[in-house]
Amino acid sequence: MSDQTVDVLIIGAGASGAAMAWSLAETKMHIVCLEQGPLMNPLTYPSASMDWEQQAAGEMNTNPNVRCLPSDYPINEDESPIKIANFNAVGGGTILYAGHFPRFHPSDFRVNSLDGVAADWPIDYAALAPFYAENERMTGVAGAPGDPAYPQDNATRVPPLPLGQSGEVLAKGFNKLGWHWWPSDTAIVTEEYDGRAPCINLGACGTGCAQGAKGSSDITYWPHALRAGVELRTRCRVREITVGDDGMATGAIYYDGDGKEQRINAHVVIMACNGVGTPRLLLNSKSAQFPDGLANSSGLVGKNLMFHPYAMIQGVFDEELDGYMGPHKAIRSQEFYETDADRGFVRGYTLEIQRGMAPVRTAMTGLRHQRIRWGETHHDDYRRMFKRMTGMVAVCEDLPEAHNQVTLDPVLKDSDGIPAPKITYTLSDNSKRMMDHAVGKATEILKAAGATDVISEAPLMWGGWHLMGTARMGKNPETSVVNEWGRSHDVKNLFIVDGSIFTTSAGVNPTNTIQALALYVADQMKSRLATLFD
Amino acid sequence: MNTQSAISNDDMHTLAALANVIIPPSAAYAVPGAGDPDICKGIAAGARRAERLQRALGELNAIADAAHGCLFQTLSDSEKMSVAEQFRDQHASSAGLIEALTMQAYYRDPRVMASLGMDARPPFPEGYKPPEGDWSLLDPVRRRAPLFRKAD
Ligand SMILES: Cc1cc2nc3c(=O)[nH]c(=O)nc-3n(C[C@H](O)[C@H](O)[C@H](O)COP(=O)(O)OP(=O)(O)OC[C@H]3O[C@@H](n4cnc5c(N)ncnc54)[C@H](O)[C@@H]3O)c2cc1C
Ligand code: SF4
Repeated sequence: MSDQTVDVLIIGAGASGAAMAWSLAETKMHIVCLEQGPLMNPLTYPSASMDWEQQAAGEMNTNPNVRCLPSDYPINEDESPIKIANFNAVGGGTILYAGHFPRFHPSDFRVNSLDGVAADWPIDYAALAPFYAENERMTGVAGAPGDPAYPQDNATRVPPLPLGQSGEVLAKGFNKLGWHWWPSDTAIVTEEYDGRAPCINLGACGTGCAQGAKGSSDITYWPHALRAGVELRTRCRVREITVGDDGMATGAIYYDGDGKEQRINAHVVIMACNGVGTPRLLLNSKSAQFPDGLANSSGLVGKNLMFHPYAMIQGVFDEELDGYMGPHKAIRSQEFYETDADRGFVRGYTLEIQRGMAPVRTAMTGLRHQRIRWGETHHDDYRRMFKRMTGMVAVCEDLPEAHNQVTLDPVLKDSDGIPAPKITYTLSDNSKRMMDHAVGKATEILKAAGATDVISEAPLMWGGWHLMGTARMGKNPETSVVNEWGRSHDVKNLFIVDGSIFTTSAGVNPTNTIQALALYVADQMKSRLATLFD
Repeated sequence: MNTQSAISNDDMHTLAALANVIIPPSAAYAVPGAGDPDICKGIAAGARRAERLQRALGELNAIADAAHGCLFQTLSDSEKMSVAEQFRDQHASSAGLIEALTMQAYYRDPRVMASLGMDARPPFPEGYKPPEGDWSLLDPVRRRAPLFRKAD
């Protein structure tokens, strides 16, 4: 077992770990990042093979229990109607993410004050705004300024993704109803950007972008962080954070690529393992001083797990649309985003338009919804749907509830013998009502746009891709795990920067906010270096 | 990943017969059935665990045997369809596995892609060109008053 001391240890090289590593690099401290997965080679992504949709269902599946790669850890999700979607590699979940990249709204930071539910964030939109802008510049975002659903912003944007035939049809539906829609802010570049090639509409973003157009953090932040001197160690899986007699974190114990146990000492430890991986590691870091797990005096580590329950609503049209072409996004609607008490639920949702579907996905969707049958009718059934479907998903705000949680499974372990996380989650009545509302409104839009048939699914079982809330941020140590700049209330040299620190989830995709928060925490650390542990 | 060799000839015959029930050939669309030898090889090779596929085919043959006293592939077309329906009812997860593998292998076959008007190639590196679309549709939305709530 080797023993080395560094200034800063970052655990996890996903969206937040990458942003943090890049931002701290300018301090010239010795920064090491441990990541359990490999550095991906985009040339090996499925979209270069004829069987790419099969790989998407297998070794590039979004669910780690199906994928079962050596870098994955199993997750007991038997007690959750929504299953986890993640990816364990440099870039983390952004390797597979769709790249929707909206900001939160100002009201999302004031949920308790405005709607009397959950808790307010200890920071506000204005505090994050410069870091959103920095993150968007580093990532490369397509979109258009002037969205009336948001305050004016200072974002750098490249031109939006094509509206396409599907976008046009749906835009007409929205316009007929007089409802809001806008080009999606998407982490996909439509022109050359930071040495990356523009999107060529492969329609395979969910299996990794071979073209390098999608802003996964392995190709946005990491090349810059590595050039600035950050050391990235792949295939290193951390088992626990160690602590000294003074209650400060001293480093971590991990297994290297050969399965050998190693120790690394660090003056500062930063967790970036996501809303499931971080509580798992904290709960597994028990000691005499921290018998309930590290940083857990509030008892809230692992609690308040939030997904965004997703509803999927698709229409079948008579005319040919975009089908398999193009990234599966173009526009979004936030007509039903802000709370309206008359709707029977608090908070709201974004409607994210999905362009169309590739051939196998078309078949599987049709079969699942009994629109495509086995036997003689198969071909006609299929052709009624192929290139003739478009629709949307509703990204519903999930409110924090203590019983929705990540714990350690008493039996299940990963390949290194580390206890696996267990998810316990139930959908709230508020979420159910919100999804019902979204299905109803989306159906209206699709019908207004000319759909002859509408199918829906809620919640999307495989849609647990947004992992938030399990080590939440707040000013009060009794009701939160980290303070308003990401430092653990209990352990003064331990920071958390991934989706676990979200106080509430908003009704938009989280990654722009996760990374903006990481940049904000890094900035706070840099401005307090002399008093960081006070 | 390639489990083809782990599937016996008998299993391949059963698989081909079932695949042709799921997607029969069509002269009208000029496409083979999913039981076509090349496609069927792809179905078998797609199974990440061969024993899971073998078990599923065993379950199918057990239903055929109980109802007709013979292997699935020897049944008439109408008997095959009826046994296949029972297989879906009684072994949903096995039937779902074969259904998914069949779609994954069928809808990447060059003959099928050509019949759908697609180039028989993977998406990368050529990509596709969807139309840009008419952005003037956004004009009425641009004119809307702000719809976000003030938080202060
Ligand atoms: C299919 C899919 C689609 C998505 N689409 C979108 C979208 O359109 N828009 C959006 O905003 N978000 C999307 N997301 C979510 C997005 O990927 C996540 O929000 C984001 O990656 C989370 O960032 P993070 O830093 O919290 O964690 P991650 O990016 O998950 O990074 C965590 C990293 O920590 C590593 N790690 C964990 N435990 C250990 C350990 N013990 N030792 C060492 N390393 C460890 C993991 O391997 C991983 O690389 C999607 C996700 C998926 C899977
Ligand atoms: S559609 Fe664009 S972003 Fe998506 S995989 Fe293709 S090139 Fe990459």
